[in-house]
Amino acid sequence: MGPVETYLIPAVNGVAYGLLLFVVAAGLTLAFGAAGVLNLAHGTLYAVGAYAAAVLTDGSWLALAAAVAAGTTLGAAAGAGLAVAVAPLASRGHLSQALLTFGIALVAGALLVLAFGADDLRPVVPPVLDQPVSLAGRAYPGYRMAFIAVAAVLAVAGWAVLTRTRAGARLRAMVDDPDMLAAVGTNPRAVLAAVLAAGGAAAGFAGALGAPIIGAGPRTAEMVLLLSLVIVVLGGLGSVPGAFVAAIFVGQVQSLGVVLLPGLAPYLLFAAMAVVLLGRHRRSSGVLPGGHR
Amino acid sequence: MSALLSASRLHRRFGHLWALAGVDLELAPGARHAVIGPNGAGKTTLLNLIAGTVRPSSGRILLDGDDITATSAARRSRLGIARTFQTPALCASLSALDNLILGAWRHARPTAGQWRPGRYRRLAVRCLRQLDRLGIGHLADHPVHTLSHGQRRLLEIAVALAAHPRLLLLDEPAAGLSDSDLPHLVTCLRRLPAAVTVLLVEHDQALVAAVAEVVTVLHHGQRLASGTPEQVATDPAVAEVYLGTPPAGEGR
Amino acid sequence: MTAPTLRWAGDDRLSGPPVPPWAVAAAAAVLLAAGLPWLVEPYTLTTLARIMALGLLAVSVAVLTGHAGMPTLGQVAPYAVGAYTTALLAKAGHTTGPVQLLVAAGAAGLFSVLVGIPLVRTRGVVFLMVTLAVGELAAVGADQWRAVTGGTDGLAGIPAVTLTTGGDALTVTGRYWFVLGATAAALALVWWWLRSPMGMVLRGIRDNEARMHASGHHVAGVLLATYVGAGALAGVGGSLLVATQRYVSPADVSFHISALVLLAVIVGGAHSMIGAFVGAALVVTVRDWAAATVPGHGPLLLGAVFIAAVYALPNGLAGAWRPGSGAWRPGSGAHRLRRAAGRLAPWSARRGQDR
Repeated sequence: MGPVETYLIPAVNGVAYGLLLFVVAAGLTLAFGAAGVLNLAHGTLYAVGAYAAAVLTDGSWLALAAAVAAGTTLGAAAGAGLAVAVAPLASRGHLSQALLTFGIALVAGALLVLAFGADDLRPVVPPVLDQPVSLAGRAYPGYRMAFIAVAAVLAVAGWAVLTRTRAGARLRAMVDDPDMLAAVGTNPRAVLAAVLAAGGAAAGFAGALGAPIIGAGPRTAEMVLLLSLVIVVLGGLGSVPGAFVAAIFVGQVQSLGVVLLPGLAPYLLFAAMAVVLLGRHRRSSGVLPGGHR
Repeated sequence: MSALLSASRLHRRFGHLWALAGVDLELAPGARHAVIGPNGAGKTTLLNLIAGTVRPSSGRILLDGDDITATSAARRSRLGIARTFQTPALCASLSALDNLILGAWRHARPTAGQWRPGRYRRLAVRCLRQLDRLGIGHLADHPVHTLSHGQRRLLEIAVALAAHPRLLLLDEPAAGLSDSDLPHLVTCLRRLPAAVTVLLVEHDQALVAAVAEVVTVLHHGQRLASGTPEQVATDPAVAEVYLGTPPAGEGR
Repeated sequence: MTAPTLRWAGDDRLSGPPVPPWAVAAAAAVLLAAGLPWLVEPYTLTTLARIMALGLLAVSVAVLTGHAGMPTLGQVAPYAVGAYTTALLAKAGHTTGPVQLLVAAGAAGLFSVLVGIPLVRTRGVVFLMVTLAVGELAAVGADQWRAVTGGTDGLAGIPAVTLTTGGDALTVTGRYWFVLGATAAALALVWWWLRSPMGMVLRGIRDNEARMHASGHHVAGVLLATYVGAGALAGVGGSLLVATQRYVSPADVSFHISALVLLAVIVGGAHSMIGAFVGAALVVTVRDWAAATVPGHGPLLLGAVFIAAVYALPNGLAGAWRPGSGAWRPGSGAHRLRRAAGRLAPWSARRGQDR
C-alpha cells in the first residue's frame, strides 16, 4: 500500500466509526439535555443491537433487515423500560437515576454474557457488501462505505426532524430551557420515556447495522458507553451538532490515531476532554446559590 | 467623601434578554441604600454583579477606586464585600456556630485563612459571643437544617457580618418571613454597624421605609428614579410602574 | 449532647468528652486485628489484607462522595497508578515497603493533579460522567500499554515486600501486619484531616458552595486538594494490593471494581469512613462467596445488589439521616437543597451560571 492508502483507509474507517458513534451518542446527549438523565446503560442498548445482528444475520438481505428491525425495536423497548425503572427515583435526583442505569447496565451486561458467551461475535453480512468498493482508482472497504451512506442519510433525516418538526422544536426548547417543561405543562415522565425510547431505538439500530465495525462482545457495552460519554463531554451536553463534530473526531482518534500514534488513543481522548472542560468553564462566571450539584 | 462603590453603565444580558440595560449606582460609605422595582426589573442581577457571582456584559465596578469588574466573588469577599441570598445560603448539615466560623475563617485577623492550632477555638469563642448578641446563642450547636426560616435568615446575616465587610449586600431579606419574624429583622438591620455600607434589594415596602436612607427604583433593567424614600414614594413615574395609575395624593 | 466539633472547656457549650468512646473502640479493633495471625489460617490473612487494600480505595471514594459531595466512579485510576507503580518498583529491585507506599502515593497524587485540574470544574452528574470516563480510560490504558503494564497479562512474579532496605522478605503474617499498619496509619490520617477545620471547610463546600464562595473560601483549591489527597489514598491502597497478591492485571482495576467499591460506599454509608471500610469488607466477602458458590454469576449478583441498594437509599446518596447527629450526617434539609440545585446541574454545567 502506498503512503496515501496507509492513511486514507483508516481515515475512511474513522468516518464510519465516527458516524456510528454519532448515532449512538446523539440519543445519549439528547436524553441528558432534555430530561437530565444520564443513561449509563446506553452502551448496553448498542450491544443488544449488535448481538441481534450477530445472531440473526446469515448473509441474506432479509436476515440483515430482520436484525436491524429487531435491534431497533429491542432498543426502543429497553429505552422505555429504563424510563419506567428510573421514574420512582425522580424525586431523589439525577445522580440516583444515573446510578440506577449503571446498575442496570451491569445486570444486562452479565445477562448478555450468560446468554451468548464471553467471545466476540461477528455478524454475517451479505457478500456483496463485503467486497471492496472502487472510487477514483482506490479501493475502500465496502461495508464501511455503505454504512457511511446509511448513517449520513440517518443524520440528515434526524436533523430534519429536530429542526423542522414540532416535536423536534419542543425537544430543542427543552434542552435549551428546562423551565419550559413546567411552563408548557408537558408531562416529564412522558418526555423521559419518549427520549429514552428514541435514543434506545437509535442505539439498537446502530448496533445492528454497525456490528461489523464495533462487534458484539463482553466489552462492547463498556467501550461504546465510554466513547459516547467522551463525545457528550467534548460536544457539549445536549448539543447534537457538537456531538457530530466530537464523534467524527473520536472516530478518527480510534482509527487514524491508532495508526499514527499507537497506544496513545486513551490519553488523546482524555487530553481532548481536559481542554474542553478547562476552556468551557472559564467562560462561566460564579456559582448558583445553594450549591449546584 | 468619595463613594465606596461606584458602578457605571452596567449591562447584563441573558441570551436576547437585557436584564440590565445601563445602570449607574453610587454608594457612599455608611449608606443605607435600597433597590426596589417590579419583578424582572433586574434588582437581583444588579446585586449579583456587585457581589461577583455574575459578570457584566459591559460596564465597570469600582470598590474604593479599585476596578473589581473582573474580580471573582471569593476575592471580592476578601476585599470586604459580603452578601446574603434570597434563600438563606447556609451549610445545612453544620451547626449554626460552625457556619459562623466558616464565615469568619478567611477574614479574622490575624493569620486570616491560615490553619493554626487553637485558631478554631479562638474563632469559636468570638462567634459564640456574636450569636449571643443576636439572641440566637442557644442555637449555637443546632444543625442549621433544624432552624426555622426566620432563624436562618438572621444567622445568614450574622455569617455575612462575621467577615467584617465594608459593603453588605442583602438580597430580599424579608422574603418568606412571617409577621412575627419581621420585627426581629428590622431590629437586626437597624443595629448594623454604622461603618458598614448596606445595599438592600427588597420588595417589602415596610422594611425599606424602616431601614433605607436612599432608594433606587429599577424598571426593565434601567434606573427609573432615585432619592429618599419620600421622594421616590411621591414620584409619579414610580407610581405608574407599581400601580398602573398616577398617584391620588397617597404617600408611602 | 454537644456536636463533636465543639471540644474545648471554658464555655459549657464548647466542651465535650476528652477522648471519644469510639476512638477507644477503634484502637481495640486494631489490636484485635493484629492478634489474628494466631487465630486464623494464612489464606484468611491474605484475604483480609486484600480487603484492607480495597477498603482504602473505598474510603477514598467515600471522602469524595460523602464529604466533598462529589460521587465518583473513577478512583480506580489512581488506584491503578499506585498498584502498577509499586509493581514496577518491586521488579526494579526496590522492595522496601514504606518506600513503595510513599512513591505510590506520590505517583497517584501527581496523576490526580493532572486529572483533577479540569475535572474539578464539574459537578454532580457531569462529574460522575467524566470520572467514569477517566476510570475507563485508565483501564484501557492498562490494557494497551503492554510495554509498561504488561497489557492484558499484567505483571506477575513481583518480588515480596521487605520492611527495610535489604531486609528479609516478609512472610504472609509479616505482610499482613505491614498492610494492617499501613491501613491503620492511613485511616488515622484521613480521620484527623476530616475532623480538622479543613474537613469542615470541605463539608461546607458540599452543603453550599455559593455560600462558601461568598465567604471568601477558595473552593476550587480545596476541592482539588481533596481530589489529590483521595487519589494518593487510593494509590496507597493499590500499592498494598500488590504487596499482598504480588500480581497486578487490568482485571484488578476494571469497571467492575469501580462498581464494587461504589456499592461498598453506598452500603456502608458515604459519610462514614468506617462505614465505607466495613462496606468494602462486606462486598468483597460476598463476592468471594459468590465466586465459590455460583461461579460466573458474580457480575450479575453485583449488578442486582447495586440496583437494590440504589432503590433502597432513603435519601439518595446522602445516606440515612439521623437526627441530632450534628456535623457528621447531613440532614434531609441539606439533601433537599442539593436536590433542588441538582435539577439545574446539567444545564448550569453546560451553560455556566446564566440564570
